[in-house]
Amino acid sequence: MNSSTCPECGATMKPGSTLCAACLLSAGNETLPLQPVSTGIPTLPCVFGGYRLLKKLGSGGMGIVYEAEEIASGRRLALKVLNQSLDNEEQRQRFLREGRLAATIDHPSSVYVFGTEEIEGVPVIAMELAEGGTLRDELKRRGTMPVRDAVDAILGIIDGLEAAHAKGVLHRDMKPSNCFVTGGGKAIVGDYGLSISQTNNPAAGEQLTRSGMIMGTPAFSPPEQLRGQPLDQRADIYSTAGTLYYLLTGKAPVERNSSVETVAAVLEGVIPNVRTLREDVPENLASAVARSLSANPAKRPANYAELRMELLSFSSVAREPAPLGLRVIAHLLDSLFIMSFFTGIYYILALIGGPMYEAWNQAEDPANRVDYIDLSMSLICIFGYAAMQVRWSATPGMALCRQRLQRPSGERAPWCRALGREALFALPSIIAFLIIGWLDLAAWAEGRNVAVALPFIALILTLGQLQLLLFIPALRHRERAAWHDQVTGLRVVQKGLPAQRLIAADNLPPSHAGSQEEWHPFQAGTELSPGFRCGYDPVLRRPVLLQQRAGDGPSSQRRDCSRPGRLRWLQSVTDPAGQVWDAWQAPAGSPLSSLLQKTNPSWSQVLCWLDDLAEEFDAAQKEGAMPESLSLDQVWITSNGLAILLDQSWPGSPTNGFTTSDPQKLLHHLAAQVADSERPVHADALVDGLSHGTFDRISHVSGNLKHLRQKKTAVDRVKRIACTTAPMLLAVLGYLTVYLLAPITHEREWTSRFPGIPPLPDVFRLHLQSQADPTSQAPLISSIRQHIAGHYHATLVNGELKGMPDDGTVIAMEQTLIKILREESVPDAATLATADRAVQAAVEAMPRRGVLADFPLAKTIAVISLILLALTALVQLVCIIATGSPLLMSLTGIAAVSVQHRPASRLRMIWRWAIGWSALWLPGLVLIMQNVFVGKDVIRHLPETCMIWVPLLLLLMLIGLTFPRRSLLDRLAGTWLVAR
Amino acid sequence: MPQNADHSFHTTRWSLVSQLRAAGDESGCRVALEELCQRCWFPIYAFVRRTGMSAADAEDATQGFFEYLLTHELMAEARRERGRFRSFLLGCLKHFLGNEWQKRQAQRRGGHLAAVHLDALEAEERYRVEVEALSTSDDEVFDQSWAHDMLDRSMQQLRAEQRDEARFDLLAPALTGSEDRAALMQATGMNESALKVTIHRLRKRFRELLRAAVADTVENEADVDAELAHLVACLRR
Repeated sequence: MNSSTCPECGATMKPGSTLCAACLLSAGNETLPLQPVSTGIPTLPCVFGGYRLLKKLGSGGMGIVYEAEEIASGRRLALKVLNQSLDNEEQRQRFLREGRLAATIDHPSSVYVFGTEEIEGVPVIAMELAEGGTLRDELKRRGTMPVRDAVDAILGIIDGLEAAHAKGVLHRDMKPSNCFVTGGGKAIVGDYGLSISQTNNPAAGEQLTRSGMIMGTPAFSPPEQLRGQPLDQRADIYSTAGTLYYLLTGKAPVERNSSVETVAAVLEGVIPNVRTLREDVPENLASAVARSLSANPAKRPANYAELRMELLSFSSVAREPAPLGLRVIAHLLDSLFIMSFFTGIYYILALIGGPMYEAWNQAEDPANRVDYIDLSMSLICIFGYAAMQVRWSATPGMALCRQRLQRPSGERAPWCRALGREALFALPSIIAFLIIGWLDLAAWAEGRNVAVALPFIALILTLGQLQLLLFIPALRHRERAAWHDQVTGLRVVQKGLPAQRLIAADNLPPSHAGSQEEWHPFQAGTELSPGFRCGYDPVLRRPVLLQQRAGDGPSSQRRDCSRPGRLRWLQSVTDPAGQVWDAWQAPAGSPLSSLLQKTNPSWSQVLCWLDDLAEEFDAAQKEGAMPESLSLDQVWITSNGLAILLDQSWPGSPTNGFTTSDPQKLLHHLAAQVADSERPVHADALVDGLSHGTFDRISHVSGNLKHLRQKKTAVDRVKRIACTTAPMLLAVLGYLTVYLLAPITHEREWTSRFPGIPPLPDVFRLHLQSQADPTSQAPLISSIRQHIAGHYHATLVNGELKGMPDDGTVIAMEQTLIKILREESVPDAATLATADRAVQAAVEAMPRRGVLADFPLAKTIAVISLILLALTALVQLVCIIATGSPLLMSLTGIAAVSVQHRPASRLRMIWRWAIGWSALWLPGLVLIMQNVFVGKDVIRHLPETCMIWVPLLLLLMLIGLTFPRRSLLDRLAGTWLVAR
Repeated sequence: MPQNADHSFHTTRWSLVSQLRAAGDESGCRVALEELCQRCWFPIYAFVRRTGMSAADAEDATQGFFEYLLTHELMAEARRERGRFRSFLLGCLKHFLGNEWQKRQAQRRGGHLAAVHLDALEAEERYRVEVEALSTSDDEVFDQSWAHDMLDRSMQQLRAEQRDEARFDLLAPALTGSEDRAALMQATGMNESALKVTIHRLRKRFRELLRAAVADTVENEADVDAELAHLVACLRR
């Protein structure tokens, strides 16, 4: 039996029959208009102009698309032929407009238009052939797609639509059957039949492609499109999300029996959640799809970048695990937030008072062995963090460090897992504190001397950080999963932004300024160099490159090449002199060498180009289509930021004389365009490998580059500030503690100068207090006056106070003191002794001053804070000596490099450390020098010193923020900061 | 009840059966049903063959089915059935093969009465050419054969109406829009506008005939498009 299939509809034809039964039967359907009588395309395959039509691929509103073979070149392409029932001038213009819009976009994720022509009076558009059919075919073939495949396909579509939007083109008919799949399996956007250019005047007949027709496909159209309201990119976002919905579920978001019902349902905006149709779709993805399918455009993602960010975590591109150092920082930040939160609550309770405050204070009573307050705080933390991670996938600290908690599949963490993970994480510290409470260590340490208390505090601090042990398994884990992550099956990933490509300004010569001479179908345009012209396609209104053919012209592989890394061959044309020219795609952009003259591209931008080129080299080597020599003048950067390899140097571009035949050498030369002081340390191995040509295959380079593109390429401002601020804050905290503890110090000063009597400031305070009620306090006042006159009369010399401790307290009481000393005569010994006893008793009865004065460990803390500061400096020094980098910089993934060394040598780093820490120690140094040379009580001058010092620190911080790669410190030390 | 020779577009043949049934006109009902059955024996034969019976058994079973269908036994059954003739018939056939046929085989004495004219040789030939190699399900085989029957009848009618059958054969591709116009102009000797008009008329008449044929098997005229869409979908599966 030799049954065949119908070229029109694909139905199996009855053996021996020449007509397709299905097509005949559908001709009887009254809902379809009677098919217009036309010449049509006779039975396939057939020859049509310069093409051999092989198969009908589909038909749209304006024409029929055939798979065709270009007879002259053997190239396969898609040929769209205008439906001849529409053959009038207006329709013809609209048909060509579609080609023009598609030709403007010129992006690897958008169907490429080779050209237009007229065959037997019928306009046709020759387009790139998507060998994989459409996404709709793909779905029919494979059934609903795996989530990752579906998201990958849509991300490709988003790239294409974004490029279209950048050119002001709205697609307006995005649906699975308009998304094509290339031979390489990449999804690209096609069929711009209903698209409009927003840069044109919309009134000029652009709104409708065929009058009276429902625009677009109702099941995938947003409500505003069906209402005929003005559209923006959010309309295409709706349809794109609808396409994703279809790929995931096999159903359009709205499916009804008739188009009228569909339109009504779309306007109503009731769309079942993806998860009701398919359970294995992650919840976040389902909600992202639902949000993009909102009837209200304002609720949808505002642009493609936002939509891409939402979908990215579900694609096959794995997210980088969060670096452990950053995770520790995020944890510390969270601890800081939670401490401030509870302190805030404590003070609010203290202000309001009441039973809650009482309960809190009672719970903190050392008599209670178990600290219920701490325990409940820990529980609140566990639940609070878990809730935030379930709701927003991050705690505030994680959000600041751009981290996200998710399941390995990209899904949001479920409640029980997030809760379990937080509980596991908090467990070590809770147990530690329970033990401390149970053994009553705090009561034991109370009142002991510094030598005993210091190890105790160290013990508490260590126990508190026991949780860090959980991270040990992460050191060797591929996904950097800590123990509690592994147990609960969750991962912390780093949210990264896709690298921004540097966009080349269009500077291709505007060709219609040149010769208008007709070289059918192009205009001759401008001559760039002998045998090389920039022509113009008047129908598609775009420039084309014309190259005079030498020898046989481009090889058939080169002509068929449709990779984004190479210019596409369009066709050959003959000039009036009979010379044959090859026409090539002319993407907007500029040669790399002239771009490099104007700007200094960042490493991340160069990395994108290196990746593009390496991919192209790899494919070209396999295909044998490598140019004979390579140089930077042969790299073209398009206005989308893509690097394209030209077959020959661009005429007139500034050349630096570098040519090679080894692609690795060219890549190295391009990588070397980024200054060493900017390149991340992790790229060194690749650059070294390229310079020595150690990679066996260029595909290995490509793989390495892909890996490097996922890494952080620049020093993050947030991390930079974290590195700078942490020691500064520590220093400020240290000095603040010292200052707050100053009353104890000044007390010692007075008692050493005037032994055996209470310090004068305390006596003076007592005097001030008794002044409030002079009549009842008269005996005390007189005793105080006698006490002062008896002990301090010697200090009044020539009406001025002499020999008093110079600590600022004197200034406040100077006038009153002088007055008392002048008025009061020196009492006799017996009166003085009585007065002393009365004063001594009253001073002891008076509440003691100073915020921390009553705290038993006050002295210890004052000492510790200074020691801590010194210790931090010391630890940093030890780290530098051991690893060559300070601790915080290692943790945050920052490295310092110098001109000679990558990373910078230890000696230089010690020099850098010395400069940095002397700035932090500045107030301390000033105070010590004052003490040594002037012999004053230095702590009294701390505020004045800090008034100069703190703005200095702020200035340093500001410089660090403005130049994250090179702050003042790095300039002094001769280093640059780069990503590790 | 007289037969309505010109195809009424308001009362379809199948709805006529229902009406007659409702009015209790058994003989009129039988005549109308018989005529319908005469038209559709091949899909039934194909279905029966498809279930695995030999050619001879299938012929017997098909005749047996029609006999069974046309006796008043099934009328009660048919009365409950509403909707399309095609689905009614397939339902009955399945019921018949599942229950009645086995019973009848057991009691069988001698040959069946020929309830419907059926050319056994033609049936087997058609079965082998059209159906045997299809990988579709039994139900789909029935529907596809049904669709081809509908179409063949309309095409035969259209062909019979044409004065010049040779010219009709040339013009037939125009019904699906797959004609080569230049070649047609040359072969028929018509100019372009004359050809356009001829093709248009041919298409219009074909549509009328096809719709009329389908209309006979549905409850009302409004169902024709849905039935056509179903048949097209069957063929394109």
